[in-house]
Amino acid sequence: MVRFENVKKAYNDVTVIEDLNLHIKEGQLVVLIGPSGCGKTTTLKMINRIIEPTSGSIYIDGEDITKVNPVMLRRKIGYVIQQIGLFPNMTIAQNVEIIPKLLGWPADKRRKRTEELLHMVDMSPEQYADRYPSELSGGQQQRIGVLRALAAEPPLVLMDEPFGALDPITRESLQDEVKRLQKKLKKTIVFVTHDMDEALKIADVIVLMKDGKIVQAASPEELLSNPANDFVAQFIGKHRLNDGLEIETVEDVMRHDPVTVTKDIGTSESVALMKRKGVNSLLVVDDEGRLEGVVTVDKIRKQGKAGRNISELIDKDIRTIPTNTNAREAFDILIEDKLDYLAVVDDKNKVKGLVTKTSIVKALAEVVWKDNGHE
Amino acid sequence: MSEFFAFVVREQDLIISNMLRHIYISLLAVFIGTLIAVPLGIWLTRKRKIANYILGITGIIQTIPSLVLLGLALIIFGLGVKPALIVLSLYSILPILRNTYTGISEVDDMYIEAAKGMGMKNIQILYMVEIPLALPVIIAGIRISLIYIISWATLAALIGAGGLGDLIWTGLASYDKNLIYGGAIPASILALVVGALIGFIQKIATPRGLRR
Repeated sequence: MVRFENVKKAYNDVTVIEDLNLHIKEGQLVVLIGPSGCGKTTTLKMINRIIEPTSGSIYIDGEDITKVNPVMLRRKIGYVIQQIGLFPNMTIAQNVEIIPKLLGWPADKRRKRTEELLHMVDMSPEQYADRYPSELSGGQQQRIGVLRALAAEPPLVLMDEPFGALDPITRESLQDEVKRLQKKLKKTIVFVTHDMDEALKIADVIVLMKDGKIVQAASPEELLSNPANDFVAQFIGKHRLNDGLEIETVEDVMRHDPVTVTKDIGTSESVALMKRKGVNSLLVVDDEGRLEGVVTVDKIRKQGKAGRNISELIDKDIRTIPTNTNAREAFDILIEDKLDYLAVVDDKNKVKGLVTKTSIVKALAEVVWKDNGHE
Repeated sequence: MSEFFAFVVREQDLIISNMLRHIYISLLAVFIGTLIAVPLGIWLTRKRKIANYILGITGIIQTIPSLVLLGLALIIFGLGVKPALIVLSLYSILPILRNTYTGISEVDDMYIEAAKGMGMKNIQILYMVEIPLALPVIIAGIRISLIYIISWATLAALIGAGGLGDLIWTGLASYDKNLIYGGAIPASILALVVGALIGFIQKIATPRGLRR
């Protein structure tokens, strides 16, 4: 369906896509995923020529897309963007009918198609066709965004983080719907996301990218059981955990977002921060993120003076463990030494996380219930 | 006061004919200004680099005192309606140009990207997306322009354009209070009524989905 051959994209001297080769087969839902700046969106936008590659070729059904007029090319490719982009001056029906109209479909055929599409997502045409986008919820709007892309029955649909701005519940139901529509209508879908949950849920093939290169392209199953390298393993880390694999190091169980401050922060500001985050101590780090010590709410209350910073109140005597410490070992230390927490640091003494008693409970729960291990 | 009413009744034909002429000159000037400013404003959104220069130049025209410009027009084109129309049209350009430029520029990129991604040609993006979304702002520019021009058209009477200004200037020259009021009051009412009227048009022109 879509084939990338030695595709490269550079802006001036900055290469964003490096020698990309990818074959997207007909009827597949292919998810492009990776950290921001990995080139996933650029890859997607090259398919409908919103972005032109610097070199290399892209083929759709064997036809070099640079030989096709971009306007004609795009009318045959559905396109859904993250910001939805329904035209606020047009009704729902008018929005859905844009491409059929551009293609010159007669009015009654367009209307019939719109009604059919609305029925497909359980939105009654009588109720919604003549409303304006601003009268719909975000989830409903993006449903229409998807329908608009499907209106002219394109064999190929591109989706650029379509559900990124929606709340989790709406997102899930839209994921289900897209998967269902794709199966039913046998569309080829290229889908960009940075959310591994989403990718694992909907993808036939996951293409994991990093720094403009494909790291691994495989089915979700294959990706989980046979990650190509450490980067892949790390990217899908918590999901492997769910698959019944053992908790190994503290990295698997720690809180990844400990509250850290630098020592020039004021005492009252610190207390306010603790209150807001619901903690009773803050990790103090230098500008590079290296651990300097800890400051507790008790110490600030007893010794702190308003208007002063916390530099004199830092407790340097803090127990740290390296990131590769065995999780069980960490729990033993925590319990035996009757500590409240352990700071997890890397080899440069940079703070990576925090292990608390809650971490133990969560880890236990995951093993017992194989629950989704969100932090 | 009763003296003034008597004057109005007596001279109603004169006042009405001058008012119609005033309306005619103002509308025509703004119409010409719109014909120039809207396409120019749209074109400038495609040429961002020169946009600031052009907007700057029209800004400078705006700051030249109108009497000076009218004087210049008098020297170049002589007396009559034509020089007045030229000057008033020039003045009407800036508010419309600025609003057209801003209105089109501020259409959110996501709409342009969506439109492009769906396979609209540039001209289709312009008239199906950009102009409808910018229309309320463009009309606001026309409204500001028209209100200005209605008041400045009173000055244009100095170079023979006629209109309500004629009454005011004649009144000033002959110390005739009634003539001055007879010109100034209708001109003020005209500005208010036209402003309200265009405000109403603006409301209608705003796509329903965009109204708050």
